[in-house]
Amino acid sequence: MATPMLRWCCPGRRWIFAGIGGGSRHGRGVPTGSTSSGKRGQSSVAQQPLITAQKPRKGEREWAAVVGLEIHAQIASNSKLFSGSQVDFAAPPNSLVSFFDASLPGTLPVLNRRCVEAAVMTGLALDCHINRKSLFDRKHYFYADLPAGYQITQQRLPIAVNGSLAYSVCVGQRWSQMVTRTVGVKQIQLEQDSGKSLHDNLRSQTLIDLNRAGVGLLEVVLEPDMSCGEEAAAAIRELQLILQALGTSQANMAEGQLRVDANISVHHPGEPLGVRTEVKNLNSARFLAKAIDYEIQRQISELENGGKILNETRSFDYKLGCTVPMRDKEGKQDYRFMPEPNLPPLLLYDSGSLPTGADPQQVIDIDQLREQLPELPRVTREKLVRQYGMRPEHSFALLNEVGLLEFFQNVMKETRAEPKKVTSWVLNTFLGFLKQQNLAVSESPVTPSALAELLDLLDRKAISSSAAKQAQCVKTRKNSILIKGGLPPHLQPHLTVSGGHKVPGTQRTLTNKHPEG
Amino acid sequence: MQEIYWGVISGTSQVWLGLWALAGGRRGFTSKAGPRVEAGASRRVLKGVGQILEPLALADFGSGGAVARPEKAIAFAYRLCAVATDRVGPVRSVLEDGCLCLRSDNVVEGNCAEELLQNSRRDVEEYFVAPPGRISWPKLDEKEPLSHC
Repeated sequence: MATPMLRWCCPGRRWIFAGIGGGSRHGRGVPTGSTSSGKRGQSSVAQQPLITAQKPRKGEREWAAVVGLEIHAQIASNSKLFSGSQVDFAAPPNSLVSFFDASLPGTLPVLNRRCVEAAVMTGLALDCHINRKSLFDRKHYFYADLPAGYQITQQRLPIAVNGSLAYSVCVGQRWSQMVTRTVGVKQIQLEQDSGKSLHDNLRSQTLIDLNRAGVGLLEVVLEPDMSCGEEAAAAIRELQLILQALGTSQANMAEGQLRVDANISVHHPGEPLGVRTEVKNLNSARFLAKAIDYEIQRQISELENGGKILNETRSFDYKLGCTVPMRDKEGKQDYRFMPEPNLPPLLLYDSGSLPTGADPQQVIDIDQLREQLPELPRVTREKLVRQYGMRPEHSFALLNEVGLLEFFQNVMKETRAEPKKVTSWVLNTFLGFLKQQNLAVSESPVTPSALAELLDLLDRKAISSSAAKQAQCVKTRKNSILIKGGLPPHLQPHLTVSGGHKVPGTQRTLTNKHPEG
Repeated sequence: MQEIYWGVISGTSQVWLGLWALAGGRRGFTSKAGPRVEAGASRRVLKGVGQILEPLALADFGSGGAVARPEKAIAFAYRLCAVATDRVGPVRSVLEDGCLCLRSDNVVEGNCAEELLQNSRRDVEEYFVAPPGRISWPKLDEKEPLSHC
């Protein structure tokens, strides 16, 4: 699975209007060879057939975009937020549903301790203030996949507020320049997920599966501190890595464990903020930046053409590559928030305020959770840079692929080669080879030990770099690699590969272009 | 703005009161007798809000009785304004001094699809069939579950 790469982004970028269609009376477009934001704007909308680039007029005013994000992350827990039914994503329909999840009368919510811990840990990792007392509310709306007619959430007084998320973007054409940006975390709240609706167009009916109804969600609301799709994508990527490092969510967008809604508006710098639209259904890391950039351009062109932006909800159509209004969101929604009458306030403690003689199962100690926090990605990257003299962008790349960092560290344990050489080999040759074969690191036929040995040979100049590259590709049925052809016997090592991975017809002999010894 | 004791008023009345205050229906809270609610003004506000709330809350504001009930509730609630509540926080929940019990993260229920589906008038291969009317048909690929509001 290709992980999103950090792309080039201009700080505090300004947007230039790219003219829509030939009939535009303003006839403005992306300036050639000027600001980088202009170029970026052009490439991001290059696939949109309607937008054509034209020369700008003199005195053209710049636009600034404001992007805020709301992220819903499914909590990695065994059971649901308020009931004891299982959390699983591949079960027969409606088999993981309790009476409470189906909203049968006479059932009551009981809060899952693990979900509270997950929320506190995430709040601590994002430098939030943890509210010692937080409240639950009901958010009412009618939809077939919400059997109760309301969702239990924390609208008024959530569990964590006022944090920040640091992320990095590349500036400049080359990858070597990375800058750190910060986006404010407005709040983190616990809430229930809804069930799933599946539309059967053939029979004009909607099928409902409540397996997901009641699963715990962490809603993370980011302040509108971002100004383009790249920044948003980078922030989301960092949040994903943090949630995965904490173990609070698997945060896999493709599996619906991480869902993003964006609030987007544009305005002229120095003027008040514009009307914002909400773009939902941003469930793909690949299209996140594209969708946001499209909406920014759409708003700019609408305003430049004398139109108005409606405060509406839109959805991103992946096939057409554009945002479209969501049909069932006509008119303003009124959620009629009210306090959840079945749940008392959630009280959290720290080591100074722990009630004496309390049942430890019933009490959550924030300080204890803080001590148990695992290492965050930012710290891991800093350590790599310090320990190995690695370039920051390499530390990002190592953390960007599941299992790659562990692989690298295992190779480092066993090899005598220089860290820079190992880094370069792992990130370029090894990773390139995996991508080519469409393998995850966990599926690699080459073990860290094997690679370590290979790199030692390379280091001793016993084999050439091209021979080493080929050696990496060779597998035999007997789980050993034989480097043949040209190497003296005492330099023919037997390298072990991970077992069971049979690839038909792969026994090859190497041609050694630089025989030595 | 003063908080009103929500326990007295049903959920929908929250909206009424908010709009009422916006419509300038609010009187000072120093009067011992409490403010008088202008009948004509309240009916105008209720009519407008009712049109918005009907589809959202599936509530019927068409009949005379349907408007009269919240009118009475609002009038009653405003009598509470005679009570001095400076620096006294509202009771948001009768459970506010209660203890929120936490549950261990174990799977102890579920696996009763057959039982649950018996409650449904129609079902298709262990899925509930949604009643028609609220869901519009999107143009998007049907493999993607519809995301709701």
